[in-house]
Amino acid sequence: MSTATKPLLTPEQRAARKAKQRKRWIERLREEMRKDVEQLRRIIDGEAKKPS
Amino acid sequence: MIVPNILFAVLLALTIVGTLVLLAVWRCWPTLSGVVTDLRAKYAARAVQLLSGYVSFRGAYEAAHKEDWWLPAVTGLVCLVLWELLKDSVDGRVKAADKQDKAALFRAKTESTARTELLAVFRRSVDDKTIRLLRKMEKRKDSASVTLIRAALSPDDHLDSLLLAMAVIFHKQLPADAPQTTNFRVGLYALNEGAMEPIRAVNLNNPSYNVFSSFRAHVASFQLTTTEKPSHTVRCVNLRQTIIVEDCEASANAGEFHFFSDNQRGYLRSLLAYYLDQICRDDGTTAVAALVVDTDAAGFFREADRESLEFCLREFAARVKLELSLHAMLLTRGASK
Repeated sequence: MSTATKPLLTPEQRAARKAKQRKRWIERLREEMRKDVEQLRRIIDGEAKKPS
Repeated sequence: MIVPNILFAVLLALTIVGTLVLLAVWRCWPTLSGVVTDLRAKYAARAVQLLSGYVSFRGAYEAAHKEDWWLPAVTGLVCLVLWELLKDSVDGRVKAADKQDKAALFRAKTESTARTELLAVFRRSVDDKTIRLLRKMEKRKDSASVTLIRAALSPDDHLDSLLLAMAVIFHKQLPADAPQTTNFRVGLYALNEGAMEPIRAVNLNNPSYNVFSSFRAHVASFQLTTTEKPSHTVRCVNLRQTIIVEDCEASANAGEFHFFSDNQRGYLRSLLAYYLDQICRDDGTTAVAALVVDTDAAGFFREADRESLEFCLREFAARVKLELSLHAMLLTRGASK
């Protein structure tokens, strides 16, 4: 759907969509942090062979 | 007669050596820790035990010249007590050193974890920007408009993402038994018309949080020259240093902290204010600024973690300043000064 034909969102819908995007972004960030920390632990424990 | 004399001399020598080593262990353990190990002390104590036992046994069961064994037996007893004491002293010091090593290892792991998480956050931040740039590049015609460049390099939500990431970082550092609903708020304040005014703020649990209403309600406390209940943002900027309030309630009871309202006692329990020095405002002028993070977890920000917290905040500060400068630079109306 092109931008021109996209239905306009109400402020509430826009806020809800933004909150959802924010939540997803936080979850992705947490997941990346978790993976990096896991790799760090493997390096500390001497178990790391190659980066995950 | 010769054997008891030799044993007496040996035990006396061991007593003297034991006394010297014990004194050395008490006085200069760090230097000796590599040489006098707990295992060596244990073996030496066992050897002395064996020798003293032999002397006591001979003294007890010797039929003739019993009195010749009296002095070696007493010396053996003294020597035994001394070497046992030495063994226990070394053991205690080794255990204390082990405990310290374990604590240091725990601290090193915690710190390296925090710094790794920081790297993940900043990588995410750069990745977000790269993706956005690539998307805008597709829309670019012959020459990119300022609007396009601004949308690509300095969108409004990029700075908010940085502040939100800061809240996420701190949330990750909560102890395992802390509730997952623990909240963190991050506010960026800059000097405007004599007051430390919030210019950006995020609230981890409440996306629609409005820091400006609170500022407007207590604007007097945000005046840089105020002496009446100054906010910690003001104190931080005036002192030009990081302020850590471990437990707001306890500090308030001690008269070192002021709640603007009783309501705040419920969600403002630990606070950190970081001095940012000069930042670039939207109009191109510079102003002093501060980053303030607070949480409803009492005791979260600790004075003992000051260096670690300042390291983290310094990294964020560098990126926040860059974003603000880019934002000001790319404003379509241009810098006024």
